[in-house]
Amino acid sequence: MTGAPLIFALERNALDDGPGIRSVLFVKGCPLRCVWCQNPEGLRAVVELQLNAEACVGCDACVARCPHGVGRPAHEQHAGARCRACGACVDACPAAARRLVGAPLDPERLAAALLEDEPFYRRSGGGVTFSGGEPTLYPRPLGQLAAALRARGVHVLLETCGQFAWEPFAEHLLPQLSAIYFDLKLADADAHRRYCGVDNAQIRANFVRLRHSAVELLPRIPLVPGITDTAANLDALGEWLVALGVERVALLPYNPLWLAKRVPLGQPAVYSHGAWMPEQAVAACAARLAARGLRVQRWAADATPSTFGTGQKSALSSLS
Amino acid sequence: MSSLAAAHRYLVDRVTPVVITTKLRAMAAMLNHRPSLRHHLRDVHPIAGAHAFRATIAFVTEDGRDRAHAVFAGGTMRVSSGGAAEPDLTVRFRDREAMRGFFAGQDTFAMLLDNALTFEGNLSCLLKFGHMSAAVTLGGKKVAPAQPWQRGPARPEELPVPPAGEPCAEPPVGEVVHLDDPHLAAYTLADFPRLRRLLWAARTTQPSICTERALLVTEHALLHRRDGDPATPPVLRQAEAIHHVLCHKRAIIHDDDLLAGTVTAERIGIPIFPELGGTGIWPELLTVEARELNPYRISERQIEDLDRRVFPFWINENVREWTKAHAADRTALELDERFVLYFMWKTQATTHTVVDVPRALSRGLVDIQAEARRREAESADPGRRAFYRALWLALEGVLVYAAHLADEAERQLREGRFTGEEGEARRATLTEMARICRKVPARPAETLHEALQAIWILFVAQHNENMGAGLVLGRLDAWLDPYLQRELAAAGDPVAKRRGIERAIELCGALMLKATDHLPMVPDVGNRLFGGSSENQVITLGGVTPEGKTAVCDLTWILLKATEMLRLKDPNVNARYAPGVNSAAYLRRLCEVNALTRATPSLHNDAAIVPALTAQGFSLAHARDWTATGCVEPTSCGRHFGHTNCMMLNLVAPLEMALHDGVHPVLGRQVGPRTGGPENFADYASFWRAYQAQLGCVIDRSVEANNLLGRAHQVLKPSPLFSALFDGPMEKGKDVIEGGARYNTSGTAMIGLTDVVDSLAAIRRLVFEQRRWTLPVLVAALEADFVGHEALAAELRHKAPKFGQGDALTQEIAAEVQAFVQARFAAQEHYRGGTYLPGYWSMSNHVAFGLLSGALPSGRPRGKPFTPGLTPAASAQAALTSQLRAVARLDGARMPNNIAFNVKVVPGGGDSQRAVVDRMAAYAGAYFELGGMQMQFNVVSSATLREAMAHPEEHRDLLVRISGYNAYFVELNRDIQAELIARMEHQLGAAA
Repeated sequence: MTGAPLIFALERNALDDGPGIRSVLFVKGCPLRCVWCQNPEGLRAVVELQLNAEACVGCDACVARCPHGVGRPAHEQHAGARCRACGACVDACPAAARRLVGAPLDPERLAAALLEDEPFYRRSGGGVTFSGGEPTLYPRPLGQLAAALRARGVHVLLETCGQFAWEPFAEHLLPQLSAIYFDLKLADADAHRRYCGVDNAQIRANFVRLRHSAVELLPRIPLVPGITDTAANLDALGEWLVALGVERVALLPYNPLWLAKRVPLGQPAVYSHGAWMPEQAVAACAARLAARGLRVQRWAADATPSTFGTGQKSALSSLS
Repeated sequence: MSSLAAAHRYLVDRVTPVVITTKLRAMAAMLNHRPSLRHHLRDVHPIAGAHAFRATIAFVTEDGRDRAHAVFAGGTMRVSSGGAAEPDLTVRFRDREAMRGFFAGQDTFAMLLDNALTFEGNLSCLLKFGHMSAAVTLGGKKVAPAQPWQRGPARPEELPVPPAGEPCAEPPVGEVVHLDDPHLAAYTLADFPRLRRLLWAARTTQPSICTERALLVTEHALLHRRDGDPATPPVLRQAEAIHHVLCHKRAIIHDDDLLAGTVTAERIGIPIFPELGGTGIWPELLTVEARELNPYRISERQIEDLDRRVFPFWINENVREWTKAHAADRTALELDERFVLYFMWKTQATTHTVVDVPRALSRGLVDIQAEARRREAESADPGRRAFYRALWLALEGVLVYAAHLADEAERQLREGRFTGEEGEARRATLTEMARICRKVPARPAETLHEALQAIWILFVAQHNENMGAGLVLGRLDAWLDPYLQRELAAAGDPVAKRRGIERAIELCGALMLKATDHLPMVPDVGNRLFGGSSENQVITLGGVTPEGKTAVCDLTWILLKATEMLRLKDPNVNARYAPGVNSAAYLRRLCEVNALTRATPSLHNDAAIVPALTAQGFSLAHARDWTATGCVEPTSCGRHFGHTNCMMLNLVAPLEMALHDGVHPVLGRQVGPRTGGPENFADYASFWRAYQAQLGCVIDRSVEANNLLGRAHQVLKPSPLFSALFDGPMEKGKDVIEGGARYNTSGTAMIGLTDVVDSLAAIRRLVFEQRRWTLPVLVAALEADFVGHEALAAELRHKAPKFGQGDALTQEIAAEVQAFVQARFAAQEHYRGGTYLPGYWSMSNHVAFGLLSGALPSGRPRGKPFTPGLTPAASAQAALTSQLRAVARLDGARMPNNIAFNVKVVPGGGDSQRAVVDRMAAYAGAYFELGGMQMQFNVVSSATLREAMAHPEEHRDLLVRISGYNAYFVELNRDIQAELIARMEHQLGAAA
């Protein structure tokens, strides 16, 4: 990974990423490349330009201001290869149709921003969730941030894909965490490599280690039609979890809304399943795991943050 | 312009002048010669004798090109083209189209509100003209409604029983004595068949105009004008008036009533106050039964009574006209009549206050009368002697009315047939009622039933002295709990105790239902201005006692239960929460009732309100003894005459004036000081000074108008009954309207703060800091309503911070505006020696004022509603926690007349009731911890509201909170419905 640690969003009043009223910090950068990634703006650990074509009023202020000579067609869709994400067009755009995704992960300032909502966390049994991207990329600054939050009694939850180096994580971040939501996608190593870019050896190893630590650990399986929701995969994951003595697992039914987020980043979609999962399909998956004696928890289907316009997310500009 | 439009314009221009004179002449011919219409011009009254309508009314277009006038004198109407010398009334039309619309029968008030029509002179003349015009057009016949009145099920047993909440997990120590489950979750409406029947009657009865009070008060006034001593002090004259009304008012006890007495002679009556704004219904007399929103039943006889026996005698004698006639400078009053800058309530009422109920209950009126007698005897000053005599006489009227109620109960006992178990029960109830009405309010109340009956009789009496506009029921839990405690402590066994508790629920419910037996008279334009509002008779629960201890008690929970079961829009239930004193369980129960009813109670923070009051000079004990008034405004109970809704002021208008050198675009003339055109401002500071100058001017004018109206009330309408029931007037020897109460204030409502803050922030950030465009360019875009300026509009909406997002700039600007408002009001002279207290809530005037405002630098387009109360704009799209923090950070000391902060929340389909309530309590608790003053949840989705718009008949009881008051959604006009739907919706939890 290059450059300073980045975040891509701070969502306040989040009700879907852990118990109670929470703030969710979305870290930018991820070691996996899952083809269905719900937060594609969190994949690359660099500042990127994002364009919301719907908000564009067609004034061409961006073209006029661009110091790199990126021409019109690129601006209409996405800046393309010549774009240096310098932000000149963001400033020029009257409609806020452009924004730079990626702000410094500054533990002190983030602690102050996150602690503003402390009374809401405390009174609702909520707290702060680190999500992404992959938060474990930055164990030191996040550990520092988590410590500042824990010092004020704030519950800190980590959502992770499990792909991380154990030592720095265990040293800096793990001791500061109240709970971990650990995503398990595919049991088969080859399939994992194919759909997520890496195999799952390190993920499995980390999960086993965390099983033996004191932290509250909840495995979650994202249900991706045709990829992770197959009988073979669920059986294999279920068997493995039961063998580890795990009692509880959560299911995250597929949410197709992420597809809309690829275009603004200029990323072509490889996987493009556009429908919500039918209720019976989710129920069948749950039953399959429950048959092994696991307690299965359903997650809301629309629990993923969107990038534009829902308003629950504070713009990064308010942090800078 | 299309050729069709051009042809239309040509026709209008050519034809209109002819049409006006022709129309007026046709009208004159009818009125002069048609026997059935002649009484409009000349009439006979049993007391006043023969009289004729005398007025000269001039009609003119704004450009002065078309003029005509009508002279009414000696029983005839004469019409001439051209202008008139010294008309009583000049009606000015914006253009010829408006002139045509007026004569084609468009609603006069609606045209006034839209500024299609303005007037100078006597408004009642205009209203009478409107009625005559309608009478001529309709042949004097009232218009029948298109559809018969039909609301709710045909029988009480079919009224739906709403679900109860959950039992209380852990009853809070110190806030419950006799209730095993303070939530009383075992009970529903089905357990109280009598309440169900009364509720059914309240829900399904069409409100009727009631002329009883109007006729009596007119009769008294005419007798006084004919036979009375002109030197009679106003307060004594008014005491005679209320005595006359109460002595002759019908004593009514309905079937199923537990409490005797009614505000009017109708089941749900609209009393008319001709000395105040009553003539407002004059032009609508023939059509009010057929109007779309909130139609009133009215009989031919009632129309005739109001038109011939009431209104003609108040054309010049009502508060509005008297004030104008006696003002050296009418400007401030004329601005009020344009509806753009401010709206003054004193033309309608001075209520929005609360009498000293505990004193009346514990002493009884006879004892208070005795004190008045003693003070009269001891006083040498004739004015004071008259004042004390007035207090005695007003109370005597109440006692006569109570005696008449006892007589009526006894008559029903004599004449009724009581068979079977139910009959026996009714006989027992009537017997008890007769006993109680012989005892209270004359002597001290000793039981809960006696106390409630006394409160109701006093309430009825107050409603007959002053127009019910925010009369307060008060801190019923704190006041009544001692009676309940005595009764429950005396209950021998658990069964008797349980019966006592059930009886208390029923009695409290009966009082709340009693308060639905009348509605304020609302001209059709009021459906637009204050859509769906009832009187707003506040019940305030919880908080602390004057000593600072928790005031939550058994009766608090009982009243919450009644609120939950009945789901009434009025009484307007408000709950106080004192962090650290009141329990978390109590806050949670408030949220549960709010979730179940969708809209009530609203929540107030004692930790913010009490210091705001002590900062205004209230003692700590008196500040702690506050009740909400009207919508949200705090009033110290029984000692504080605070007309808390004296005006509603448009904060946005001065911004438009600052952008136009003191000219308001809608008014089209110089209203404020000349602060320079938009090209003259070099920096934000100079523009901010211009806004302050314009706002200061509007505040000064509004106060001038209020003081003029207040002085008119001192001459026309002192309130001896209020004065007898208040703490202060007896000692000071002065009526409440003269400053007799211990504390004197006037409360104001500042409307559109968020719109102003967002606009100023955009100007500061984008125009003066970033220099994106100049102020003249911005003003040009505003004048074009952003058409052709889309990029600029987008920038305003997206590139400037908005209040509620948590940035420092909008927070700073909000604080500056509030500090200026507070200081400007604090510097004002007050007609009864009090102070002006600013508040930030809007009823539904944020919609009405919004209609009259142009596009704003906040990015809001022309004509759209402002933000309700003090609420971040939906377009700011700020997270709920950020919004709550932003509002909580405002300084309560600058908002002593409180705020209304609307929060629309939507439970996810998958949430349990418990999770929803827990979350609401978390938001409210954290907001209060951060210093927030008031908040009100609407627990409803926009989808439900849209569904109710499409199928109103299925959503008759859908309760919503507007800005400080509740309404049934289907009774609102479409603008307000749309505003509610557009409010930002916060998900309370995950979807299913």
